[in-house]
Order: sequence, then structure tokens, then C-alpha cells
Amino acid sequence: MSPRIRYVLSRIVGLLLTLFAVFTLTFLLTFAVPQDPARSVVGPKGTAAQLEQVREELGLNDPILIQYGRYLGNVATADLGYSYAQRRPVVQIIGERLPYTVVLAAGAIAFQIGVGIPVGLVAAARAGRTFDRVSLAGSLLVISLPGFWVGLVLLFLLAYTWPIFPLGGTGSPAALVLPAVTLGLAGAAWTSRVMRTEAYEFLRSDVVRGLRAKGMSPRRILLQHTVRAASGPVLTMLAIDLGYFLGGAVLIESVFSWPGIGLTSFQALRQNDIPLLMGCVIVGSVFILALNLFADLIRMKVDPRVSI
Amino acid sequence: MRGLRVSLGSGSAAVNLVDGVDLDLAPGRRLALVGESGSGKSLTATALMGLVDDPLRSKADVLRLGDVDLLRLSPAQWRRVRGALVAMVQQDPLTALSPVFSAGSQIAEAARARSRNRKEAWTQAVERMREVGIPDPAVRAHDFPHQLSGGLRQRVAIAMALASEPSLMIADEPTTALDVTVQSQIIELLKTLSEQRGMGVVFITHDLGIVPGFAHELAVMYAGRIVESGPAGSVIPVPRHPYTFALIASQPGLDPRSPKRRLPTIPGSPPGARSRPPGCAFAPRCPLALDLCTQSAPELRIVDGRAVACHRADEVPELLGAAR
Repeated sequence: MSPRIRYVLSRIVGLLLTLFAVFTLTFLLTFAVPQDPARSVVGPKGTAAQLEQVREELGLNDPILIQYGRYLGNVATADLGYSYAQRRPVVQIIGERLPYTVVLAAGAIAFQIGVGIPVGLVAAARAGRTFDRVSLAGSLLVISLPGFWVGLVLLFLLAYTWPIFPLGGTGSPAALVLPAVTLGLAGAAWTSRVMRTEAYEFLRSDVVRGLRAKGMSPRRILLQHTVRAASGPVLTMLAIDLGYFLGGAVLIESVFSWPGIGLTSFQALRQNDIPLLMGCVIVGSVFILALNLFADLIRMKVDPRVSI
Repeated sequence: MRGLRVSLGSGSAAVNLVDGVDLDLAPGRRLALVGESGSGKSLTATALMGLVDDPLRSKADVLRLGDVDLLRLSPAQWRRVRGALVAMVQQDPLTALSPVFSAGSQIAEAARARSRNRKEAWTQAVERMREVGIPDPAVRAHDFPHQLSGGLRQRVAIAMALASEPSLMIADEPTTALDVTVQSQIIELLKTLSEQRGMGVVFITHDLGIVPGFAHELAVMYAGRIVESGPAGSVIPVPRHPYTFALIASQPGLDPRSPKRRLPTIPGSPPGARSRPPGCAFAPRCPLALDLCTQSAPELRIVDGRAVACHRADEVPELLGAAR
């Protein structure tokens, strides 16, 4: 077995162990919630007899370890329980909502790449001059702005004052624009900063001196060499961001009424819908952990120097 | 090249890092440009390629390669000249080659100026690798620089420089980052390539030891100026500048029969560009310095078949002895 495969396998094992820890923690957290799950199912008007019956059904009277075992078994078979509030399987709800989160995440990442990388490249190529300084100030400003506030401002200006975009929801493809931009804005600022730093260093390296000595035009040096050489840290960041986005961006989804995992988990929280909330947490964790691993693997592939 | 100056800053704060350098090289000849760190030799090479950037500025009275007047070139024209007429090999191939492209593709990139398509460029690249002595080049072309040994890497860098068939190759300390045994292989390789292709070589180094057997001409730089230059066969046996003499004398003797002796050193260190004394820059360290030397900087003049900038050039061999 090659060292590389061995490494990937060991990382996957690590991932499974971490997931296991996440599941356990999530399980334990449900006991910290001061809400009786039986009460959530039965409702405020339920009688004590009904409560006891529900408790039996849900197995809430069993010892913790048994409940834990049952829980793990369920998770392994992708049975994430039954939503209290919506009275249907959690996996069904998540299955409906997840695509929206995926689309939003993809849009945000596309924005990060489409804006962050070129801005960073150009800033490095024109280091010290106007574009560089303006983009630096701009990025710092953008990073400091709270995401939900930016979302609200964009909604107000571009959907309300001038009705260019829809006021939230998912009615049309145009509805993706504002939430994706809002979600990806801070990431785009970070991406442009990191890209600028890496590209700046690279442009001053012996490699570029050699490329110029070969007679290569600045444009080709930028597009063909600099992007590749400077992208390593950026790709890692993007993968991690993607994992985070796929876990559900609660605030942004709320602002734009975007029915993804983030909005779902927020609603679940408010309704004390523990199974649904746990389901969202589990799904989110899986994505985040898997994409972190993916980020490392990409890094290994893209930069031939990074070896085990 | 005549009157090359590379300066930093402007107006009264301007400093000449290279202070009036003339170089001539006939086609197919090999010149060794020797000097300590800070002597300006690398900057001279950079200026030869037109790569001097802000905040440094370079200007020359004459800069010509064959028929091409390099002073009149636009940036686009310079780009066509670089690689095609003059190519460079840098000091450390590990940092000079791109880590994310294979050796073959980097050489092919240089070859593309002269090839019709990618496939042909790749074939050319493999051929160049063979020419520089890389074993199994078709396979090795897919390797990345960090997978190759130092010597092979530098061969790749040389192959890259050769790919566009330049008339002049500038090698900026190409052996400094290599093991001693590999050094001589690379020097032999450069010599062979130069002879086979009629390609001129400017070999920049701080190590005089590589000069015999390789370079036709020798130019010694000190504090931004050339202090002695001429045929290696004339300068090395009978140096006429005290600095050249001291450099030669400080080379460990290669003759195993020579008595073990302390290597002579030159006390002091070269002046920084801002603190050059009036008069001869070497005078503070020179065993033969006179009052005249500290007052007036000697100009290069022809003495005994080479150019030398020393007021006492005629007397140096008697006073200091011949080097060998």
C-alpha cells in the first residue's frame, strides 16, 4: 500500500472518529435542553398519561446507554428520527432543504472565486498602486461588516428601493444572487488578501525572474504561472469555507428566507424540535469534516511539493 | 556593453551599484565575471537581460548583442530578445524552477518560441535534456524539480536556457548551490555546449578556481567597477591589480605538492555602495596603496595585454610576485 493511500485511509479513520465524537456530543446535548421531548410531541395540553405513553414509545425511559446505542444505530442507518414540529422523518425534511443550501453554498463559493482571485492577482501585479490600496481598504471594510447587516442593506437597496432582485425566497434564479453575494462577500475579501500575498511573493521570486528571462509576457506569467503557484492556500480556504456553508448559514438564510439547512435548524431551535435540530447538526458536521479533509487532499494534489 | 550604470535613488542621494562597466565578448567565447558579494556582478547580468526593475535603474552608453541595439528596444521587443538571443541560468535551481510544473513542460515552454506546436516543443524539450546529459530524459521530463537531485535540476535549468537557441548564455553563479563534484560536471557541460553551439557564455562567480580551463576572458569586479579584465591566460599567471592578485593567492592550491600554508586573506571588507572612498575603492585594503591612490580613482588602461585600473599596475608583478 503506497504511503499516500495509507495517509488518506488514516485521515478517513480520523474523520470517522471525529464524527463519532460529534454524534456523542450532540446526543448528550439533548439532555441539557430543559425541554421534555414528550411534552414537545404531545403539546401543552397533553395529559400526564399521554406524556407517559409518548415517553414509552420514544424509549425515553430506557437507561442512557441504551438510548445512546439506539441513537448510534439510527444514525448509522440514516434514520435521524422524527421531527416533533413537522411530524415527519427528519431525513425527509433535510432531503428537501439540503439542495437549497447546496445551491447557495455553490453560489457563494463561485462569487469568492470569481471576485477574490482576480482582485488578489491584479492587486499583486499592481502592488503599491491605487488598485492595491483600494482593494486592501475595501477588503478590510467588507470583512468587518456583519453578514446579516450586509444582507439587509442589499435587500433594502437592490430589492426594495430599486426592485432589481426579488425580496428573498427562491422564486427565480435571480433570487440566488443577493444571498450568494452576501454569504460569499467576506470570503471573497479573505480570498483576495491571501491571493494577493501569495502572488506578490511569487512575482518577486527567482521563478518569475527566470520566466521573464525566458521572454514571457507579464500576462502569461500572471495567468499561467502565478495563479497556479499562488492558489494553494486559497484552495484550502475555499474548501473549508464550502464545508462551513454547507453546514447551513443560519443568519443569511434567515435574512433572505432561503429554505436551506441553516434556516431549518434555526426554526427547529425555536420550536424545540430536538430531532430536527440534531439532524441538521449531524449533517452540517459531516460536511464540514469531510470538506476539511478534502481541502487537504486537494492541497496535496495541486502542490506537488506537499508530500506525506 | 559600455558604461553600464545601475543606480538606486535619485538626485544627490543616488548611489551607483554598478559604476561604469564595459564588457566585450566575441561570439562563442566564454567570459568569467568574478567578484565578491556586493561587487555588482549579478546586477550586471540582470542589466544584460534588461531585467533591472524599480527601485533600481539601469542605463548604458552602448548595449548591443550582435546586430541588435538593445538600448532601443521596446518592452515587447525585449521579450522577444530574451530567451531567443540571450538566456539565463540562475544560481539555485530549486528556487528558480517553478515547483508546480514538470521539468519537461518548463523546458518545452522555452522551446515553444521556436516550435510549431506543443508536441514538437515537448520533443525538443526531451532532446535538450538528453543534450545536457540527463539520463532517461523521456521519463525524467515528467518529474518535478523537487524530485530531482541538485545537479540534475541545474541541468534542467540549462536545458531550459538552451531551448530557444540563444547566442549568449548568462550563468549567474550556476554552481554555487551545488556539491563540488557536481560543480565541475556542470562547468564541463557549459564548456561543451558553448563549443558545440558557438554560444557565448558569461559565467558569473565569486570563485576564481573555476576559471582556468573554462573561460577565455576574465573580468574582475570590485565595488561596482571592473578593476582588471583580459584573456584569462594573461591575467591569472600575472595579475596586475592587487585585488586580482589577492583573489588568486587566496585560492587553495590544487597542486598536492605545494607546501601547506595559511591561506592569505585580504584584511577589511569591500565598501558598500554608499561609502565608497574618493579615489581607488580598493585603496583602504591595498598593500601597495599610495597617497595618489586615495586621491584619484584610477581609470582602466591597457597594460601588458589586459585592461587594469591601478596606478601601479606596471609594478604589481614585481612587488607582489607572480601568482603561480
